[in-house]
Amino acid sequence: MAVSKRLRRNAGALLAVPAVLLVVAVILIPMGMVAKDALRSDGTWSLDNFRAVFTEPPYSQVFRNTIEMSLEITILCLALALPVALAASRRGGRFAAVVILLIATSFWVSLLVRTYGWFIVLGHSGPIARAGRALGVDIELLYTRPGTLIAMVNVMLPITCLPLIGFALRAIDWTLVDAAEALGARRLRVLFRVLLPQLYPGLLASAVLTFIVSLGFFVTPQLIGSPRDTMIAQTIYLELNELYDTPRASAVSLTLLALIVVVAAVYFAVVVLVRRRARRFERELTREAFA
Amino acid sequence: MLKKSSRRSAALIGFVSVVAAAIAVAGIATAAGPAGGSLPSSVTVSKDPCVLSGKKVSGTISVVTSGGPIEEIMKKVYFDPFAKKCGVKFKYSSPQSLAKVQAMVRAKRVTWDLTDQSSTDYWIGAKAGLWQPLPKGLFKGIRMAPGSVAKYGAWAGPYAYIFTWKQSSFPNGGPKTAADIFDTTKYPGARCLARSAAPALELAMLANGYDFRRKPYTIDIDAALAKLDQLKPSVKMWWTSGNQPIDGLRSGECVISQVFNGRVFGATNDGDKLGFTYGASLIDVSWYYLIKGGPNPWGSAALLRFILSPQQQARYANAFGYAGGALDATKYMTPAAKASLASNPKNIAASGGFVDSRWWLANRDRAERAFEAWVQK
Repeated sequence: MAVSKRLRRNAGALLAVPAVLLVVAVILIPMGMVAKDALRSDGTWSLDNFRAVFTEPPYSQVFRNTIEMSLEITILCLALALPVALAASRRGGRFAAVVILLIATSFWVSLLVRTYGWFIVLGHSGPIARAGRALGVDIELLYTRPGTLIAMVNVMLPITCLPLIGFALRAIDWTLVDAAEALGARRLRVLFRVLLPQLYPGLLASAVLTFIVSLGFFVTPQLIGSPRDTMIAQTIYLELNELYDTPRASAVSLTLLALIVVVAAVYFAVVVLVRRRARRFERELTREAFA
Repeated sequence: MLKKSSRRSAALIGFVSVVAAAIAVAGIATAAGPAGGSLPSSVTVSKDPCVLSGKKVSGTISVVTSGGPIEEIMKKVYFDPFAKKCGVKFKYSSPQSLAKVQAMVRAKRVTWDLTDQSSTDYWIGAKAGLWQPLPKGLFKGIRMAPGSVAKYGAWAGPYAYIFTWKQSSFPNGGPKTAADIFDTTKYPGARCLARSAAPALELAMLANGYDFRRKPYTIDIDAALAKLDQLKPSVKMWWTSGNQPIDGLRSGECVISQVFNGRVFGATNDGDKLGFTYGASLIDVSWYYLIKGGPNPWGSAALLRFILSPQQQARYANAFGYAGGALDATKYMTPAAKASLASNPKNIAASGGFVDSRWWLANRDRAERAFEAWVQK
């Protein structure tokens, strides 16, 4: 009796086995193999590969590039996504649905096609360069950092926008804005003291998501960027496919993974801290109210 | 805090999952094994391309190409005719990757039969036991260029990173030497170079006056990069994909482009009026290799003989401007295809000499990483 009862209680949990199995088989075991690879050098265990990643060219340079460009993408994406999210939340309904649909449409076009599209738009005989020449200025964007950023922001924008719009639709209480305006608050003050505090968890989540996904860019910087805009995925490709140095490629990959884990950990720490502070603040408020 | 029962079930799930995953991985690893029988050290050939040592080939042959238009042409001139003649099937993969071949051999699960790779890969593969030694007598009856057939492979084609430009850019004649490529007053305009250590460093060595014909192949990495510092401000694009430098000429992005020689042939066929020089280049060779432990060694060996037969080689050259070692292939080639071959004596004479891939075997990591760090600055 006891056995069947326990079995019944655990049966639900057993439903998770296939998913856990999949994670173990396709993520944890291969990751373990990658880690083992990274820690081997000339047939013995050593940290040489990681030492090289941290001390030898071109790795530190590429990591700096990657972080710098991902930050730039994140800031640009947020700046573009914020007004869209606010407008969608204010107007709501059909307007928000159309905005979401339009953004999602660009998400459905393959990354490679979009990148080649930018290739033409930014190129020497593209509309931007041609318009520039007609006005007597030289606007060369292909193989430059600004051009690469434009193409990458285009790729990342749906990833920033969609969660932010979703959050804004749920979280912003526009009656507070009306109240602030009724009390005479100016626009900027409303934005910074009423809107952004409500939107900030969504902004943070979108920023972290955008930053982390950006760290893995490959096709766009490879085709649109100059060598100065090299990102870490390109270096992993070089190590793996040109130099056949799997251990070194593994060490670079794991360093990137560690970077992502750190960013994610900081994010969760901030979320937890803020939530705890908010709860304490609430408690104090209640205590004061009943004092 | 988790409840005791759910903690126990979590442990149970974890345990079951790990065991099952381990079984799955072990199963995958052991299920594979070489099939189809290995090749003998020598074979006899007959008129029938489908028969080796009296044995008719069968089954599926798994080939690796660079994909895209090249794979289309290879299908048209090599694979489809061979499939039709011999009743075999083909499986295609792309692009070529020695890293994957290494992983396959290491995992004892080789799913590719035939690939073409660089000359440095000849030595890497020979050392690591990746390549199937070619059976003696495989090319009997085909007149092959000396050196074009070796123990572990046969020439897929000599090639070079040559320099090309629109004829209209330099009506009085374009650059001829490596020094000319560096001379931006005499030959002004943006340069588009390959983002790859070998062609860039070799260009700099030639510009520094190193005579690869008289002296052993070597590269002074620091001196070469210092020389390239002079050219860097004029380099508009460091390309990573072979179509970029020709597209760059067409759009006006590049005035002088470093390209694979076959690209000039292709663009000329498309109507571009291009000038080119071999004078700032060394000639290298890509090789065909049979992968050791591949699923169909007999089929792929017979296929390689078929590919390297003069008629097939000529058809490929007429489409792409590259050819392997079969000397009689030139009989069936168009004059334009013949002129575009890197192995054409005229082009060899104009070039700076040949690449010795043994230097790259010893120095590739160092050179490639130093070049990457330099090009990113």
